[in-house]
Amino acid sequence: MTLRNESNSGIMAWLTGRLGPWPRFLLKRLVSLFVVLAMLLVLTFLLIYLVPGDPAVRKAGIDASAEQIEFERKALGLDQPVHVQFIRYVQGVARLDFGTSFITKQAVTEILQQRFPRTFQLAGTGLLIVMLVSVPLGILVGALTREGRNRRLEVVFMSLTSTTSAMPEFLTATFLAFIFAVTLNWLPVGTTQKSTAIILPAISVSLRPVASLARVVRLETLNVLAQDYIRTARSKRLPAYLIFMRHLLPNVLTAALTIGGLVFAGLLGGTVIVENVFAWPGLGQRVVDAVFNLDYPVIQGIVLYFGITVVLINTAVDILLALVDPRTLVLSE
Amino acid sequence: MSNAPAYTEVQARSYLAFWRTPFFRAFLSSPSGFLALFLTGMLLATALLAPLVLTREEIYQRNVRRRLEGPSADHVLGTDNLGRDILKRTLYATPLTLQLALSAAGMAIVIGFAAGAATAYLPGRLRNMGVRLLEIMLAFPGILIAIMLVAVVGTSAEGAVLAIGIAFSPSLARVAYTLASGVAGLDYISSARVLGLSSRRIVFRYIIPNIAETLIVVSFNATASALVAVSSLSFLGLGVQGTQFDWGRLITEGVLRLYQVPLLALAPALAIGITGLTLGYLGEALARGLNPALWTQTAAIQSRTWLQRYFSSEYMLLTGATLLLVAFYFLPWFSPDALDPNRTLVTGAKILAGDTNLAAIATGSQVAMLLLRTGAWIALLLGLLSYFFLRYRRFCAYLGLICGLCAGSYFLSFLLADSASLGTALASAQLGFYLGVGATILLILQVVSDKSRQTRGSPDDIPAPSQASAVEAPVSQAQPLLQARGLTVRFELESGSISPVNDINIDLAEGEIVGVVGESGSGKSMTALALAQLVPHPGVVSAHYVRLRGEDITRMSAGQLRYFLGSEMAMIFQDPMSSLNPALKIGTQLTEATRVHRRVSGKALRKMALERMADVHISAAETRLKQYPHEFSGGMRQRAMIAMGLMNSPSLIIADEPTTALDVTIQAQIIDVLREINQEQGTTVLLISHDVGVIIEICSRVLVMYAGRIVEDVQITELMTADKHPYTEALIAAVPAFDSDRDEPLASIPGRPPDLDNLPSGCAFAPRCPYVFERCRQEVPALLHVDDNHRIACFLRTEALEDAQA
Repeated sequence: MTLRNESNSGIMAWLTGRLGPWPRFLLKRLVSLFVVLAMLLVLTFLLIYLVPGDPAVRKAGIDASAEQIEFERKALGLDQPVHVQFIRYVQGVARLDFGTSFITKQAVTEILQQRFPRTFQLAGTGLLIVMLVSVPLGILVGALTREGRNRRLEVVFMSLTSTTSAMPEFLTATFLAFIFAVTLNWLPVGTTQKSTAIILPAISVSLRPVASLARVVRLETLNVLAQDYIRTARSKRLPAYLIFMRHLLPNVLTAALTIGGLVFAGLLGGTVIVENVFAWPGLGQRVVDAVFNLDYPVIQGIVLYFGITVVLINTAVDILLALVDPRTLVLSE
Repeated sequence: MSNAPAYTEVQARSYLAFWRTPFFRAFLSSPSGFLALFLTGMLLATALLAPLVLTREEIYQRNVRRRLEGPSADHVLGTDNLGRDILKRTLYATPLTLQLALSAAGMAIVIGFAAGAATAYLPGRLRNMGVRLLEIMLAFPGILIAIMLVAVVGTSAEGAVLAIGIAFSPSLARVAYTLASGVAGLDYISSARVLGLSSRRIVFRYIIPNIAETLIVVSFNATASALVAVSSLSFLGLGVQGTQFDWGRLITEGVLRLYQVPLLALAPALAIGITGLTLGYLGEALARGLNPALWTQTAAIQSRTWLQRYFSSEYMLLTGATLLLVAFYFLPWFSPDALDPNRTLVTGAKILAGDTNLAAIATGSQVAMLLLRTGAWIALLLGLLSYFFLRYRRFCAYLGLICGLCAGSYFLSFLLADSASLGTALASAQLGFYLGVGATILLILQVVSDKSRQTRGSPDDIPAPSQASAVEAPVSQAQPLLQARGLTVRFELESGSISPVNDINIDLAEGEIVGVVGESGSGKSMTALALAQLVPHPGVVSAHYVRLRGEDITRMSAGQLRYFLGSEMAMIFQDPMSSLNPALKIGTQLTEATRVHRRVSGKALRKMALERMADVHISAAETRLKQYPHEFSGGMRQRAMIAMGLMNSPSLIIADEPTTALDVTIQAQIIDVLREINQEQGTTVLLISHDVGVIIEICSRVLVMYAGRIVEDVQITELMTADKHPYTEALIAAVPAFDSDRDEPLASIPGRPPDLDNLPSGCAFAPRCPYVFERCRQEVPALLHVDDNHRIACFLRTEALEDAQA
């Protein structure tokens, strides 16, 4: 994911012209991070205006009196002009204060603190599985099918991965729960008490990205193996492990990392479904309740949290890419 | 995207029946096309017939006494918590689910394509902003955006469709943008414009056919993900409401009772999975059908009808076996009186051991279940084995199928009748088992005999190079460093076999610089790769021998070869940018081979590296070693390549077009460096180039190659004076003067180089030769000495000699 900032405005040009490649690169990333975060803030703020109905009425309850509604309107700050509301909203976010839930009257920050670690744990474990499985798998199959070898293996790999990547999360989740929890009774479901409880949800959430990333890694492996520098390495008679670990891996990892950010975003989306199948107490379960009850503060808080996570991960991936592949610094000019 | 010629109207009219059109042939050219057709038919039939055949009563009528039952004759897949038939409800939900998915996908496609195409036509700055906005939106998971949008538009079926339509449009917009901004700039569009075609004709004849493939695949993928997304929202309770239900909602009910009636969740989940696959296959097959590049190919392959191909191909058998496994293995589990899974293996072993006292441990239907599984496993095993290992896979796959069918027929009888007799069950179980054992033994025998035949047969596959050529020894002055006899490279392709290098003999003396010259396709680069044992797959190198320093490298093990060639031979390739690994520092790349082959490291290694860098005149070598290739200039990269080759002090450097990718002044530098190394270190250089000028400048001897053979072997000093091969004459005549264009050095040789898969019967150069006579078209001329230092393969030059000898 390249959120390239091509601002050629005077100040940026002046600033970037005076910096070395690394500071210049970091500055650009920082600016684009800021722009996206600002957009996120505006979007979540606008949510209240886009949703039909009066938030004050919703908070006070349907059978509330006119005074009560007016009181809630004041408490929510809805009587203020829009720009004042927005500034208050931004200030609140800066203090990590997203208001309180209309329904449970719980502070949104508290909900997020309780539940976000669970979601992050699930998505993080998923990402770990994706990277640990799909990269070696893709490289292995790529190496075995290079230059049109092993046509059969290629057909099997392609059909297996295309089938798996077409499987929705709740299908894999249901199947896995049925096989490993119901039938074989190997792994627990619907609890977070046992440390093994994360296995099934994490596999369900990662199976689809594993398949699609393995395909990408295989293609990239084929691509790199066909490069001249691999022929050079072979002409130097390096042993196979050096050719693969030193010459192939960094170049393949670049591609894997580039879409690694997207994969993580997809995993976060997948957690919403999987958490509901496995009763995993993360944000995914909570956001559905919130949407169903039009509990604005909770929706705002959760969307912001997901959004910020995605943006931060993407920025981290960009920086990691620049570390792994020094060409990125030059190319992003 | 291919830029093959568009499908013309004339072609379309010449095919009468639609199933014989190239579109349909390409559509069915892979099993997925057949599956797509079949599954789409099933899906459409279900969607249309389910609401007609099934009454509302059957779907909604509660029957609490029969709630949460397993599969039975009345309810094939069992009942839900209100006693309603699971299968019927799943089928009944088909039209609504499809309708929702299609509307959401349609919306996403319309919004996305329109927005994407529009973005492509925006003025510069706005377009950049639009693209960046798209990228930002794409970074967020679609399902989360959809959930947020549902909050805005309200929780209902329509709301879900709207939310998904909007949330999934950015990815489609991105594709449409790329296509729209890419297609307009393509060469064939511009040439169509120049030809004066109208915009409408350009759009329909050129643009649409060329982007249709991508658009269709993307649209079908979008539909599949819309299906999943709609179902997800319904599953979460944010989609279909009230008494209506789609597959997603059925799953919600099922997940709660996964432990009691697993089919309640699995049936609709499977329905979603199958529909998703159908959409994927359909998109893939349609795209294949619309790709004109595949039409001629498939037409050639499909001499048999597609039906014949499918029923005789291993694809079908493998698919069949897999389906059998899934059906037979999982279905018995849902049976109310199925065995405890943990006990089945023990019981199975007892039955197969011939234990007839089964009444104690199992009932008839339980035995039936067991044999279904056994049959399924054997079928799958045979299918897989035959798919991967066998020449006679068809035979074995049929046996596997029979095993599966034995089991399957019994399964049917079990479904129809309530209980089954023990005798029949036992008989079919044993029949299936013994068939399976027999087939497995056959398979193993087949694999073993295949293997032994392969190892014995391999030397015969490559025709021995002619003995005559080995007799005629090449030019050699001093002690030969390299001697290759009968060097041949062969590629077995589907269209036949070709030999880019055909039975050549090379001798290189110690300290020589020998050039190899020829047009592209003459086999000169392949000769270099063959000498280095680096010919790409599926090329096969054969030779009487290739001796380097007297050791035959064709008889070395992989380990010996690696060590020996790693220190005795180095290669330099054409493009120094792509030949150096961009992700590794120059120092690492320079030293790694020495580290491995000579076990030198630390300071000594660094000192060596610095010396070699000095040899090739790279200044500030200390810092240069720490830099990456992209920080080097083109000429410096090539010198670094040469330094890398020199690290192990090889006796032979093979340089494959080392100057071609460089500009003229840099070329001279590289040639100087090569010459210095040759003079100072005595390294032999084999220099491959299509540029006769470069060869003349540096080499002492030149080998001229044409169509995989050496046609002339001559000293540079004689090159301008002696009688030469007509091809060499043409090459020299084509050497550019100072003022001519260096990009096209060989432009003035009339005719084209020959196709290697279609060589003329006599001399390969005969069709282009100005001196051609009858004998040239019938016999291949041998490479013969015309004097001590000069060999030519041309009847024009050697016929007189032959007469003299005779």
